[in-house]
Amino acid sequence: MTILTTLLILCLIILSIAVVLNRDMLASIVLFSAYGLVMAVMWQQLGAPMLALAEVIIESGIISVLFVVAVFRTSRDDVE
Amino acid sequence: MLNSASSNLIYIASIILFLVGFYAVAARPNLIKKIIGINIMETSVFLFLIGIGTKKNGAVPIIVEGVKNYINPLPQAVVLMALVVGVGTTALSLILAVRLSESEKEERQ
Amino acid sequence: MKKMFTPLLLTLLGIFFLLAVFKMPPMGNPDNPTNVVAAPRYITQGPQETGCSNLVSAIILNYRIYDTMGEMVVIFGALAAALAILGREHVKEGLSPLKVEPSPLVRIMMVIYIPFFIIFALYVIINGGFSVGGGFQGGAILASVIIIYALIFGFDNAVKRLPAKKRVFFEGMAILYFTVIGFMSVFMGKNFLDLNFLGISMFQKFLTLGLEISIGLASGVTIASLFYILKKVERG
Repeated sequence: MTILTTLLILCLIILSIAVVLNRDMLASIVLFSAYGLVMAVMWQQLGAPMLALAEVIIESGIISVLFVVAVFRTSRDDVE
Repeated sequence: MLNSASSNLIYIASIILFLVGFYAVAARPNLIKKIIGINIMETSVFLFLIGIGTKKNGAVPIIVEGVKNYINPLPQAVVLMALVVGVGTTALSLILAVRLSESEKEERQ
Repeated sequence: MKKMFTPLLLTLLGIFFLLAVFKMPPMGNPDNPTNVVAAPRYITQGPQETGCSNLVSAIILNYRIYDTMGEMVVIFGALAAALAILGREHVKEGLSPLKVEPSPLVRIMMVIYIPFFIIFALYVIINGGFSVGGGFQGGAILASVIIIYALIFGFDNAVKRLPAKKRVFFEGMAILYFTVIGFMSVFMGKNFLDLNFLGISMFQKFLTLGLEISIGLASGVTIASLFYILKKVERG
C-alpha cells in the first residue's frame, strides 16, 4: 500500500461526499467529473490501464455532458 | 483483524463510497442527484472488483517477451463491459427523469 | 422517524459489508482464489488460442464473446427504450441557435484537432488486440468527438452532418455482425460464435479485427444517438 494510493483513497472519499452534499447541481456534476479522473488514476495504480482509459472518457467525459444536458432540462438546485 | 484492515484498505474505501452513493439515492430529493448516486455506487463496485483482481508485483495483462507474472485479466474484462453498459443505463434513466419533469411542468400549466 | 431510518440502514449495511471484508484474504496475495483458479489458463494458453496479446481483449472477443454480444444487445435495447420515450431528434432551421457563440480561437482549434481525434479513435480501435485499447474505448472517443462537434458548432450542424438515417445502420451493425459470424460457425459444425471455425489462425485474427471495428463504431454511434435524443429540441 503506497502513500499515493492512500492519498487517492482520501481524495475519492472527500470528492464523493462533496458531490452528494452540494446544493448546486452544476457544481456537483463538475465535482463528479473530477471524481472520475481520480478514480481513473487509482485504477491505473492497480494495474488496469485499459479501464483507466475507458473511465476517463466515459465517466468524466460523456456521462458528465449527459448530466449537464439533463440538468438544464430539469431543475438546477437540490432542495425540497 | 487490524492487519487485514490495513492490507484491505481498498475494499474498505469501496464500502465507504458505496454507502455515500446509497445515501444520495435514499435521501437527496433531486432525481439527477439520485442518478449520480447510482453512478458512484457503480464505480465503487468496479473498484472492489479490480481490487480483487490485483496481484503483488504483477504486470499489466498484455503479453511481453520474458515476463511471467501477470495480473488476472478476467475482472478487468467484466468491468470493461459493465462500464459501457453503465453509459446506456445512465442515459436511459436521465431520459426518464427529463420526461417526468416535462410532464410535471405540463400538468402545472 | 423517517429521518432516522436512512442513517440506521446505512450503519447496518456498513457493519454487514465490513464483517464480510474482514474475512477476505489480504489483497494481492498470489495464493488468492482469483489468482489460482482460472487465471493461469488465460495467461498461458490465451495468446496461442486467440491470437491477441492483450489478454483483456482475448477474453472479451474470444472466451466470453457471448457476453459481449449480450452487452451490445443491452446497449441497443437502451437506445430503443430511449426512442420509445422521447423519439428521434427533430431539428428545424433556426430553432436551436447557440446561446453563447464560442470564440473564433476555439472554432479554429477544433477544426484543426478533430481529424486527429478521429485518427486517435481509429488507432485505439484497431490496436485493441495488441496494446492498451479496444473497441469500447475507441467507440467512446468517437462519441466524444461527435459530442464536442455538437457543442461547439451547434446542434443543427451536428445533426445535419450525421442524420438519423445514416446512424441507423451503425447502431444495428454490431449485432448483425455477431449474428452472421455465430451462424456461420454453427453451419460449419462448431459452437455458436466459435471464431476459429475454419482452423486458420490468420482468418481468426481477421474476424477479431472486424469485431473490434464493429463494436467500436456501433457503441460510439449509439452513445452519440443517446446524447442527441437527450438534447432533442422541442418544437415551438
